[in-house]
Amino acid sequence: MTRHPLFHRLVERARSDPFFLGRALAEYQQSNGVDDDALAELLDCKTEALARLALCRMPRSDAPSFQQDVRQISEYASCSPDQLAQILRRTVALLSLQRTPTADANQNMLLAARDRKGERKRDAE
Amino acid sequence: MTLDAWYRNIHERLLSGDPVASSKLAEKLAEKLANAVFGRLIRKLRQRFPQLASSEMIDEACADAVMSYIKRPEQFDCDRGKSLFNYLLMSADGDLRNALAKAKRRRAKENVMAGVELESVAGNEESEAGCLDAESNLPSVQIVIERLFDDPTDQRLAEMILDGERLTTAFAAVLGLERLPVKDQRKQVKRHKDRIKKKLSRSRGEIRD
Repeated sequence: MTRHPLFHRLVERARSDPFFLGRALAEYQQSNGVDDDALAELLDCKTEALARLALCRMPRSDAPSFQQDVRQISEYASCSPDQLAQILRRTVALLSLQRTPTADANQNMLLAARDRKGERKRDAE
Repeated sequence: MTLDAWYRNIHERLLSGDPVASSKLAEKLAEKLANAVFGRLIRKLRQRFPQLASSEMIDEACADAVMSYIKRPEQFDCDRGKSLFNYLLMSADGDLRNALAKAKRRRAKENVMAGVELESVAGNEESEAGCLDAESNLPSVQIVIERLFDDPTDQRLAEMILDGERLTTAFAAVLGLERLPVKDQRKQVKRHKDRIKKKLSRSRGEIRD
C-alpha cells in the first residue's frame, strides 16, 4: 500500500522520540547493525508493519501492563509478541547501561575536581 | 462508526494511554489532514507569500500538529464542539503562520543589515556604533507600538497588522471573539483594525520598516 509522505514523516519523527516505540526499534537496529528487512524477519512481520510499530506508544518496561501492551501492539502490527518484548527489554537495558557509565564518569570527574580543590585549599593554608 | 465517532474513540484511547491508538490515528490523519492542509493552506499562502509556500514547511507543520496532539491529547477538548480535524488544522495553520512570521522578521533584519553594508560600500564611514544603531531599527517598531498603545491587546493587534496578518479569525482570537457568529466577528475585527490603523498611520514617520 502506498502511504502519504506525511505518514513517513511521522514515522521518522517517531524513530527519534522516546515517547514512541520507533525510537527503541531504531536504537536496536543501530546497536545491532540490523536493517529493516532483518528486523522484520526477527519480529516475524512484514517490513511495512515496522512503520505501524514505530508509531505505537512505547510501553514502560517496568509497568505491570508491559506484557499486555506488547500483546496489543503485536496483534495490531501482526508481529511476534515474544520477539517484540525481547527486543524492547534488551533496548531498554542497553539504554540504561549507556546512561550509567556517563553518569558515573561525570560523578567521578566531580569528585576529582573536588579533591583537587581541596588539595589547593590545603596547600594555601 | 462515523468519522467523528471514530476520532472521539481514538481520543479517549490516547487519553487512557492505549499503546496502539497513536499509530492508528497517524495512519488515518496522514491522508486526511495532509490533503486538507495542502488544499487550503497552499492556496492561501501562495497568494500571500509565494516565495515561502513550500510543501516542506507545510508538511512540517502538519507533522508537528499531529505529534503534539498524540503526546498531549488533553489539550484538545472533545466537548467544546470543535472537531479533532479542525483542531489539528488550526494547530498546523498556527505553526505555519509563526514560521512565516519568523522568516519575515529574519528577512527584514537581513535587509536592514544589507542596507548598512551598502551605505558602507558607498563611502559613508560606518562606525561600530552605527551598525548597532541600524540593527536597533527592528526593536524601534516595538517601542513605537508600546508608546502608541497602552493596552497589550492593541499592541498585539498593531503587530499583526504590521506583520501583514489578514485572517479575521486570527484577530478574533486575540480579541477573544471566537464564540461570536462570523458576521459579528468580522464587524468587530474591522472596527478594531480601523482604529489601530488610524493611529498607526498618524505616526507613520515614527516607525521605521
